[in-house]
Amino acid sequence: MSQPPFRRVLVALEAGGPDEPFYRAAAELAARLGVALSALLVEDEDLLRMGELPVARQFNPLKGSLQPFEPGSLAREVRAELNETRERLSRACERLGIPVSLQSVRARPGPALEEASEEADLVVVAATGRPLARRIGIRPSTLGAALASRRSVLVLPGGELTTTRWLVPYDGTDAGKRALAVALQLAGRDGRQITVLLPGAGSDELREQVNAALPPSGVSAQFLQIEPPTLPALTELLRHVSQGTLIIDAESELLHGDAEKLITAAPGAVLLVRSG
Amino acid sequence: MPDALSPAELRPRFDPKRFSFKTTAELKPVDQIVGQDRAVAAIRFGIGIDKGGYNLFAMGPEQTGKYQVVRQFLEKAAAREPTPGDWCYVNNFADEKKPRALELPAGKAAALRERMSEFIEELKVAIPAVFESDDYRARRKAIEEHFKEEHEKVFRGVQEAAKDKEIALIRTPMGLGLAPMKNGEVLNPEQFGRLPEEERETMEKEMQELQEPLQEAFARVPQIEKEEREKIRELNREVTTHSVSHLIKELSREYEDLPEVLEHLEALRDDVVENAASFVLSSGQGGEPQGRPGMPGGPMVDPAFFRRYEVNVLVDHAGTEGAPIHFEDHPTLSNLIGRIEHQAQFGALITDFTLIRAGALHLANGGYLILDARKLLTQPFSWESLKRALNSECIRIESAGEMMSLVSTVSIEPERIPLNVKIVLIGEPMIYYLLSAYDTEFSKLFKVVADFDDRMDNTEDNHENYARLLTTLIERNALKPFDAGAVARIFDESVRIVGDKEKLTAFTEDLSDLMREADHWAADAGRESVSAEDVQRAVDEKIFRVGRIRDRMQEQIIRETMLIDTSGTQVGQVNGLAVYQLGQFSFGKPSRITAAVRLGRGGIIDIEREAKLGGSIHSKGVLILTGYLNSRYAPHHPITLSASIVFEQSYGGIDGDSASVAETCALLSALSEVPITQELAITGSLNQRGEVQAIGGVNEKIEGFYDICNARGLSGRQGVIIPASNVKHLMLRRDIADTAAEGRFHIYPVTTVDEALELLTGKKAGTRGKNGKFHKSSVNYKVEKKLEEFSERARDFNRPPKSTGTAKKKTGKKSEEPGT
Repeated sequence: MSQPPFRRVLVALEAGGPDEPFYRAAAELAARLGVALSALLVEDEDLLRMGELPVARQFNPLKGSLQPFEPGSLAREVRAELNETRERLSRACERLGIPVSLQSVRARPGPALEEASEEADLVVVAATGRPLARRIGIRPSTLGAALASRRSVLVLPGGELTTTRWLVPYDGTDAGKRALAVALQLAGRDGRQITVLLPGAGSDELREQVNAALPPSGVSAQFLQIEPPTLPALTELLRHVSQGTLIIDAESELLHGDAEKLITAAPGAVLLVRSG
Repeated sequence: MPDALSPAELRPRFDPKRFSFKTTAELKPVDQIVGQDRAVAAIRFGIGIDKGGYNLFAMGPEQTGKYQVVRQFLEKAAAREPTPGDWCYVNNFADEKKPRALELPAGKAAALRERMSEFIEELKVAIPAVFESDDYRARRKAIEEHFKEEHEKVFRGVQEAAKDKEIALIRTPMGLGLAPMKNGEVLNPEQFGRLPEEERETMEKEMQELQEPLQEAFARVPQIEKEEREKIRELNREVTTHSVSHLIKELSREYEDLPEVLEHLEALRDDVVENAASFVLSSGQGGEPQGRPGMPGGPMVDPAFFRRYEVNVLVDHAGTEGAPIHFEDHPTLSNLIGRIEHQAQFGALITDFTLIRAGALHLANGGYLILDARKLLTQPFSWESLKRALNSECIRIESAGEMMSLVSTVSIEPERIPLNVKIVLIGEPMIYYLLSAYDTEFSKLFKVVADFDDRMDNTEDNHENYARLLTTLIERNALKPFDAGAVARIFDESVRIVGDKEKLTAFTEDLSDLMREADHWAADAGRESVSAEDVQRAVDEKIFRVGRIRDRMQEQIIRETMLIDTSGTQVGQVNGLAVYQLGQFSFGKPSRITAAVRLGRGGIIDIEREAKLGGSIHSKGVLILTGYLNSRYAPHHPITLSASIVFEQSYGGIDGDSASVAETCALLSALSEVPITQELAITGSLNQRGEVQAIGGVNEKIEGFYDICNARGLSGRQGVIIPASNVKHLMLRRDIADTAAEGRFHIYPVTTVDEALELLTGKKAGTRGKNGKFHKSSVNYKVEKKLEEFSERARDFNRPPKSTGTAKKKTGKKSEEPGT
């Protein structure tokens, strides 16, 4: 079996975190890679401070009005929620027999994650926190921090991770090659197929390059074209494909350095590969 | 004095030699109805006339084979008529409480049911396939993305406004927290406290100002979701319509000549489009089209949901040739007009169009329905419902509970089905006459009566047909052939059943019973065909089986517990005869009738009436007797007599006037003091002119007295006096006829009391001479003389006592009774 592309996987969590499927997905990924999970639970300093500030207000969508916080109530609620988050992740890992180490810090999520990610080579974050209303989710602070970090990031929208279909844009660049290598390593663990997304021009050559890279992994490839090779065309293609996890290098020309746009528009999970 | 009847008059025997066949195997069953010309004409008319209200009432005594006759005619008529259409109920998609009734050509309903079932199965595959397609997914995803963007756009505005005002918006466990920030960090209380008051107020105000945009943003959420749902529903409708229309077009082509079916298919198509989600769910996909595809744990479709597309075939005439004929043996309300069944679900009773069940009216619609009138009338609501259906010419399914407003269960109201049926009620005359008298609607709805006779003429012309009728019964009951002797013996019993030598019974069920039992005994004896011996054994065995009470009664007489003299003479005592009916068996028994007379004005006392044991007809007979006595023996003076008549040792009720001649003879004997022979018994009814009239059960009565005499030993003088008008009814047992032929038992027919009196007393009854007086040696003279004596003595009693010189004393009272 080949070496896993990621050995140290860090799950970033905060109060108001994602729903149950996220924890399952994180645990499944660790199981797939055959590695342990590290979890960082951030007690958001800003949030706790807010609860102590008399002028701060809370908007409850059910009541539809601003109300002052009850003294000490927010801190209690945050602690309770983090405890629940911890338990959920522990349960999910326990089910799959994945060792998990949990670390709680009281800090601002960005700096806390930046520091913790130094020890990881993949950060797993949710695209949205627990929704306020059915379709209104607040972007977690950890997502911004993860995207700003130097580590590879797996963003799970709605907590879903599709491991049956890996999609990887390949344009023959180093960035494309890095993403392809990760895709082959992930798919190769159970000999599945990958879907390679080729830019229209020179696709035959690229196809040959991909095919040449396949044999040691035992993975087969199918090819789709991104026409034109732009981010909107990529997201449109992803919508058509409907299900699958996109593996893309952060240096890919398709992103033009703005991974946020892709994360916002992509319908499924995105694994942003970084060489650092 | 009348002579005894000849043996031939006692038991006319059918001579098997008169038949041209050896066994019934040589005969063909009758293809026509024997001896029921009147009923047959009525049935023909009733079936032939195609107008409202011309339903039939086949009226006749039980077991005359009315059903078979009616059925036979209906089958012939129905075979020439067209087969009516099938009926089925389908869902009314516009109002499920009112299922629609569809009429299809005969045999097509079941096909529609199968076709519809296949169609729905096809849809269960086709519709999910549409929703699985990449094209659908892409279009749907586009809609979802659009609305996701809409959601985000709404909230993004608030987030940007907050950011501009340096207000932090952070997700809290309970909602959304708002707090002032400085340099991207939420202020702590100390930092906030250090701010100028004006700035603090501004911050507070700015946060308050965010309340409204936040409210608006969240209020917009359901709106956006609704719009999204609408868009997705529109998409679903579009793709489903396309898929369903293609399939339904094929189906519609098969029913293009049936506009009602096409109309239903159109409604069904619209409903399928509206409920496409259920088809997707039924395919095992977790999500529903309106929701998010692939979402685990999505709603499941109720398997009962697809029943709404089923076809409930109520009437299927696939195997019917001609018009249907239906006989409903148990005409309860629901068996008659159909019913709506319910199913228990979570403690509630629910129903739908698939639980509608056909009644007899549905099954017979377009043809004929045969019903037993008595059964129909004894079932609650059945008669009224039948009349309502006939009057309204449609079938409306109602439950008894609904009619009585007893049931509050939610039910359905199926569309009424047009009714075109001819009803044939079969019943006894009493029911017909009661309905005619008390139900005004009856005569309007049942204009034709087929009056079945219980007998037919015993003529040479009828004999061959009657033998063929027996052959029909043999075939119907799968019996062995009957030889000529057995057939002749059946003829004898037929006469016996009717109780009239000139008639044959039309009670085919009685004949069938006898023939079945004879067949059994023939088999028991190992015979290939049934002989006269087997028929006789069937008769004897049946009497033996049911004759226990008769035997016990006869035993009481023979052991002299019950006193009946069969020898010697007695004054004022005569052997009368009574008939007992126990179940299907009747038998005769002699009764001692005695009369006692004395001077008085009490008239003739009927002790049975006084003791409330006598019926009204018996009382009438005694009154006639009084009238006869007055006119015959005291035409010129009042009778001064107190007499009592009684049936000795009778402890039950007595009715009928068949003992009135016997009672007269007992009374005349008592008056004349002329003894009556106890070797004879007598039966007959008296009129005021002294004539003897016919009575019922003459054979049983004679047999009852014969059995007693025979048990005690026949003297050779014993016998029975019967009305001459009953001679034609004689069909006595063979042993009695044989004994009579040997001169050891006698049957005397009489026409007047005088003839009876002469037979009983052995003396002349006497007629009035030219002088108006009876001959001195006659019985009647003695009767008249006794009555005159009573009158004379009564006058003596009433004469005032001789004067003793004192003033006359007027009492103003008459002596009621001498010596009292």
